[in-house]
Amino acid sequence: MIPRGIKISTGVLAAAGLPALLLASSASTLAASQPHHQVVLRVWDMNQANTPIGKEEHKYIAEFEKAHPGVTVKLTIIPYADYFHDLTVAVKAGKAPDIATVDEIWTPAFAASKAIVPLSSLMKRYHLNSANYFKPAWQTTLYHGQSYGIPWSFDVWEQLYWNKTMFAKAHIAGPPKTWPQMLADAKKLTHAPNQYGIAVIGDKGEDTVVVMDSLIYSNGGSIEKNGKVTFDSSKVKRALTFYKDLSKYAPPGAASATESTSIGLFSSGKVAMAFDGSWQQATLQSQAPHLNWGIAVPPAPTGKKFHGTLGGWNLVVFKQSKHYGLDMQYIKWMTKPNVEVKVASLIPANKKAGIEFVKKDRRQPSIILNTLNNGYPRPISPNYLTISTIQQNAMSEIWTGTPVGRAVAQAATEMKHQ
Amino acid sequence: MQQSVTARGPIGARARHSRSPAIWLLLPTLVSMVGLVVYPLARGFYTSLTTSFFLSNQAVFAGFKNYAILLHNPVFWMVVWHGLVWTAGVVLGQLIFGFVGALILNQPIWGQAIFQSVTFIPWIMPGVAAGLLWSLMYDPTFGLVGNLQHFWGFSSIAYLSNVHTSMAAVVVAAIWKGTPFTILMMLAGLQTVDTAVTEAARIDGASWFKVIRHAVIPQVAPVVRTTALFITVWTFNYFDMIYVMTNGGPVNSTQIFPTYVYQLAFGQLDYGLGTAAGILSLVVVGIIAALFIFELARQGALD
Amino acid sequence: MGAAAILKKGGQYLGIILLLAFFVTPLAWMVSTSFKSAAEIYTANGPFFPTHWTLKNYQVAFAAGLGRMFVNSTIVAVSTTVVSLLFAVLSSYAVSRLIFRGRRMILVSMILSQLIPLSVLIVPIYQIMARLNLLDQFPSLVIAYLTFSIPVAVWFLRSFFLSVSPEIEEAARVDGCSLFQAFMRVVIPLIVPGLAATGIYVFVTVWQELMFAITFLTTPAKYTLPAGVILFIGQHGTNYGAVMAAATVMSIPPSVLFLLMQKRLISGFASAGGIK
Repeated sequence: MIPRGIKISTGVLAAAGLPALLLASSASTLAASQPHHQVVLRVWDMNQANTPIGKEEHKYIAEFEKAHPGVTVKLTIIPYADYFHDLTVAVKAGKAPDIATVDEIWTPAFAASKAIVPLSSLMKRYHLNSANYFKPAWQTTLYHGQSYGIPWSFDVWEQLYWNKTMFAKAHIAGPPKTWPQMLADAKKLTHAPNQYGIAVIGDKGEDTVVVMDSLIYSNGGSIEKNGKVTFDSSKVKRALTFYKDLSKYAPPGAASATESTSIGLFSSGKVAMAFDGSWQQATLQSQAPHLNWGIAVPPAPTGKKFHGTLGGWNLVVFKQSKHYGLDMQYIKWMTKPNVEVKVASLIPANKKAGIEFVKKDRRQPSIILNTLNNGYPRPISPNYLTISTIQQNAMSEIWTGTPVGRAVAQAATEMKHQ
Repeated sequence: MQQSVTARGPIGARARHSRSPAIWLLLPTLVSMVGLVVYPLARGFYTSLTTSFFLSNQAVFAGFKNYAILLHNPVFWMVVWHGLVWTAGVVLGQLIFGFVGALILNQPIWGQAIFQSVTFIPWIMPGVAAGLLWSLMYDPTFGLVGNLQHFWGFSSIAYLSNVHTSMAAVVVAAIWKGTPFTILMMLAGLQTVDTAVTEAARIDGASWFKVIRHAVIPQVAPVVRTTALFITVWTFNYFDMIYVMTNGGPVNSTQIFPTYVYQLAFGQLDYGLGTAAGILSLVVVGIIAALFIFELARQGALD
Repeated sequence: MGAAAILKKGGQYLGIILLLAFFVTPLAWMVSTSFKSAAEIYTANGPFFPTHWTLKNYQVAFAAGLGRMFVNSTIVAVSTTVVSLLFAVLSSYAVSRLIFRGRRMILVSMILSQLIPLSVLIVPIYQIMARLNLLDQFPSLVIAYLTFSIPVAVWFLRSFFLSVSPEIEEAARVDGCSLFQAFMRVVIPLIVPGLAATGIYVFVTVWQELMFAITFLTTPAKYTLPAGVILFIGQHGTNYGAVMAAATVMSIPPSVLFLLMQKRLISGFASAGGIK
């Protein structure tokens, strides 16, 4: 008993050295922090899985520091899955950075809370011209007529990915152009349980909402208009009924299918069509190098035009920053077309950089540019995150059999209470 | 209380009946508890009485408005119910699997050590990783469960996608994750069992089940109760797996308190409302814990 | 061996097989997936084992800093374990051996501390850490984890103290030991299994903690293992291969360690559970 005890105790004692080590290591970090005469610019950015953009970003930051003596940029890169949580906790605790990349759907909430500052006058002073950006990307930065961010990167969430081999086998000439055609094609392409016409996205997440919105926009509907909830309109009902009908030709599990599931089903040759953004082209190239696929502008109701849902990231300046001018200089530096092409996580929001990027980096660039220019943003409201949750629940209700009319009416009532 | 201590005798009445050494020994614990539990909880309670505009850190006092909003929301009551179903399912599952597992592993059998360490793995795995593993397993097209169904010629069921199966699916996953701890506790308990009693029962001709029922279970009951108390409380507040697997969906069918609180506070940025839901969750689990604590006190386990 | 005995043995092994199937199948699936390419993971009703084994997921995971995270997690988990045990031994001794008013209340309030949902505490604790200038430093995690580990450790250790007869300690005092000497030389060696068991409990809890880790740590070089899993969950897709590789690395080595320590651990938990 005793000898065994001694053996363990020495282990414990050795381990007790670790906290000391730990404190020492944190002390050394403190010592290494910047001298006081330096201005430190604290910047937060997020990183998507598989695409480490940090390396390029550090390179341009080094150039920025060189061009601005006395300025040190402290870049913090946080994985996407933590980013919103970390940023909101920091802001809530009064520890926001100077500059951050913020999803366009979060921007109004940050603006309404007065956590970030309006940039219109600063933009003028630092010669940043709104005309240089894609108009739809620019619109997502506006709140109460003021611009609260500089668009950095964006894209539309929907292209129609189609499997050319499957279409040829089913003797369908090309991708569908209208909703009725799409339903007919999906039916023809379905040979359950081995092959399905389409993959739907329907989980409890933002990836579901963007598809809903695109269908609604393409049918001439909206979620809210001039502050009034329009989610219970017949146009919305019709759009979501179409989605529900489409799911008859999708593999089981709509209510838990994520964007990842959907593109996985497409890459594995299980489904003939899928809605997804142009960023998934890279996924398909790595996940299914031999698949014969193409993209097309997704179908719209007969006689109407397709509108995708925009997504993207803006650069914002936090109110507690002590050097707005320097912040703007940094933003200007990072949004230069040649820099943006390298560091943006989606398509650069600067027109010149964006067009160059799409042409160089994407297949069928003309289709992408077409959908980009016709994209609509999601409701620009500080309440957006709640609106989105309500929409997600409405879609779940529809998958589980609640009549579309009732699900939509219930959701609209909840939205009106916000 | 004095008397029971004397009777139970740790050091008894002749021991140091003075406050000062106790205070000194407890000081580090008390300081850390006051600093990191009591103070933040008090802050949290105050926050629950306020409304703040999204991320603004200026909160406006609103009395019990957040509580009223929650208590009038049918989703809140659904969350209460789901919390109880989830906790009961996971805890019972863990206790049953844990007890059976411990009974088996308590026998001298070949490869016992390896079996024990294999069953240890789920416990040490981060909940997010376990959640992702089970999401992939349940996937009707790419997952193992879907594969098995396909293999046996059934059409695939998406368990996480169906409001009738989603809760059961996450409960099974959580049982898998948590049972190893219960097995450890139970195994430990079984080793304190007085073999003379079980042997006597066996000699009297009692069947294996009867021996377990009448000789083993009563002896391990204290272990079971303590284990049950801790895993109940931990399960009620367990966030990681459901968050990754269903995020509370579909249609709130797996929405439990920790995911609901998180959604309100950090998903929808209604920090006051989320904190109020957190305080109410504390009340609900507090009632459950109180039942356990009364039972422990009745047995004198707190003296 | 009689028929009944064979039946019993057979039943036992059947039980073990079923139990193992439930535990091992997901683990085998995890390990197998960690060796699959993205194309194979996304193969409809694909085979259980990879047709082409690849180490790419492990390369991706280690390139993202898994090795460093392993070291970080070890530092944080060992430090938390040591500090918790230190605090908990003292407090637990007090609540088990000394008689004072409020003892019962302290015991109960320690359970209450386990009831509070983290989301309520996270912002206030974050503010405290910010004020102490500890954000993005390991001590912030260690301090936050103490909140959760100490109460449980006190409860566990208490049952070990209760199982040590006070007479032994008294005898040492009679032999001229001071209170502290008696505690260190006589009581502590007797509860070493308890310390090991409680220590493992704390270690495991800290090893997998996510919420504090992702909120406090922002420098990738400081991430702990669970935060590492998050790296592979993107907005538009999850890299399941890398997640499974990371999960394999973070769960199997500690389990091997457990295999080595197992005997002592089980007997330790024996007294921990046996609150009598």
